[in-house]
Amino acid sequence: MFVPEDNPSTRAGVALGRQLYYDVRMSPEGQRACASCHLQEYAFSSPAVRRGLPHINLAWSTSFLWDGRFEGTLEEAMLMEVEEFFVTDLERLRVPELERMFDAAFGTPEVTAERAAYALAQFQRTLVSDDSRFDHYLDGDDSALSESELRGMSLFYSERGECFHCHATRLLTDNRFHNIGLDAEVTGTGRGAVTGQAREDGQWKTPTLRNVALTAPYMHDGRFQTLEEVVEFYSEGVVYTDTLDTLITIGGFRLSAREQADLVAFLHSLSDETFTTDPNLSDPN
Amino acid sequence: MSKRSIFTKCIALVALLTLWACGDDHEPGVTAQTTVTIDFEHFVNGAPVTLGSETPYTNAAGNSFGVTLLRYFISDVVLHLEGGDTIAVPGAHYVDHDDPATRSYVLDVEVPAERLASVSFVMGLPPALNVSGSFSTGPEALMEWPEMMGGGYHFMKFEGRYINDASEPFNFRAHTGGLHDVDYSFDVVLDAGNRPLPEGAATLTVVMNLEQWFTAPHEWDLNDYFTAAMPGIMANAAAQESLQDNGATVFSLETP
Ligand code: HEC
Ligand code: HEC
Ligand SMILES: [Cu+2]
Repeated sequence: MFVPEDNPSTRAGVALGRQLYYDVRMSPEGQRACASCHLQEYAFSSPAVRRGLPHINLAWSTSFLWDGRFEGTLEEAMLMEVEEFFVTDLERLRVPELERMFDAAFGTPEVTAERAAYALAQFQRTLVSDDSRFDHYLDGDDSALSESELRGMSLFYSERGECFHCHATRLLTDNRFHNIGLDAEVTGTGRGAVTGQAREDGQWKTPTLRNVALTAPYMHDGRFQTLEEVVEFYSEGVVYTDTLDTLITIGGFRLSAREQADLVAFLHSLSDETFTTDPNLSDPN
Repeated sequence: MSKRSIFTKCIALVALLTLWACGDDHEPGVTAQTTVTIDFEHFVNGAPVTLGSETPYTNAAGNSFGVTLLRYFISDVVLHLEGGDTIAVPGAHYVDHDDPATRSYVLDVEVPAERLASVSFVMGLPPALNVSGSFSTGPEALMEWPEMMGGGYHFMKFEGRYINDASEPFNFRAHTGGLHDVDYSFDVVLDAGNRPLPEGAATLTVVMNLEQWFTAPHEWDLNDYFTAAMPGIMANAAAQESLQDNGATVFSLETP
């Protein structure tokens, strides 16, 4: 995990970040907070937000949003959220109880967008998910996964399934961009729209699969409601275009019904209840 | 002690050492040194490769193919000087065709500016370096090789498209690595013809000739290895061994 020298995590800093994450005073109209669309029970995503992304292990990310149009540190990403997405009216935050928290975190009660962003980044670094049944299995508990989940895992880590090349490492993402063959027309979409490179058309960021059973709807446009639909897509629905990733088998992975069910079962084993019920990550009020 | 005063003392020390070093330079019998950089270039049929989804190249078996991605490790470089002295540079270097910075490997050793007989290295990672967890961050970590296939790292990801027997584009992914206890890394020795290494800085260019992976002694018809039923070769021991054999003619060296 990268922690910049000018923003080491402190108890008071994390507490302020958590407060702001759940505080509707962050929005100029005083109506929404980060937690309105990023809910703990859904691994900090929301079933009501079609194009949403969860907040899971973002401490290891250096590019943000589905098309990666924001690159930089977590601090910079949070500042962008505060200044550009929320356009937070700092006057709303200049109230004694918050100023006391800014004071505890940064040494003076001054409220600035940068301080809010730094505190939010400190809180984000506590949103670490590493306690799923899959983790227990990796850590040596052979009974953590069922027979079907184990078969799904074998497929996930084979070249018949291919999932592991992109949903890679223990983060279950490579933090790179790929065209997985969702659409027949990809010109000027996804990563390509950001970089202007035709060969990146139709590429979107690989989402982590941690807690994926909780983060429906799926894909950058929320087109799939269930994991069954996602796996069926990988099996039969892949559409060929020039920029289709060479890791995706043209025509789809062609998995049997049982293989698809096993993969879905494995994806369910990635849910981390410790994370979604951790009282330190919940609404502090 | 304040940071500043440590800093001042360091400067003084460095100055002193530099004076000594300068004194040595004028002693007879001391050879000039050079810093060696290895540049990696990737060719197909004699010309630099262009990545893309088209299939402009032809392999020995007559398959039209194109290249979309090339990433690999080389390790344990050794420079062999004319007189028999060797300079070893232990460790791995990661190359990604798409990331120009990785295509230049500055060897972190002082090399006498003498005549270079040959350069050797390991293609991939030797068993001592091919251990899960040895790369925890960066693109190197993404070369991981599934534990179910023995763990460690890919030696190479060489991907592209070819036109299959049904005249359709199909992907190939020539991913190499060790399978369980079988190590498919191999030694590469490139003759440097006893050319003198210039003083100060010297650049060697190592060329990977991509079509050679599919040429000899085993001619690869890509239809035999990359099909809908079995789209990859990672767990295919015969294919790994075959690429290891073919690797003997993949690299060539250009010296300054
Ligand atoms: C109205 C709903 C909504 C609210 C409120 C909201 N977000 Fe988001 N958030 C989204 C959506 C939708 C995306 C994905 C957008 C995209 O990629 O284009 C997203 C993505 C993100 C990402 C990128 C995650 C990744 O994996 O790249 C970060 C970081 C983030 N939000 C932080 C915040 C913070 C901090 C707040 C509060 C200041 C906040 N969000 C409030 C809807 C919301
Ligand atoms: C070539 C890289 C690649 C491979 C291989 C791959 N994925 Fe993905 N996956 C992605 C990308 C990129 C997305 C997002 C695509 C989009 O939204 O357009 C994604 C999205 C998903 C999603 C939706 C997650 C969400 O939060 O919306 C799931 C579930 C998923 N993949 C599972 C799998 C499984 C299971 C496999 C193996 C059968 C697999 N993936 C193989 C790159 C890959
Ligand atoms: Cu592979």
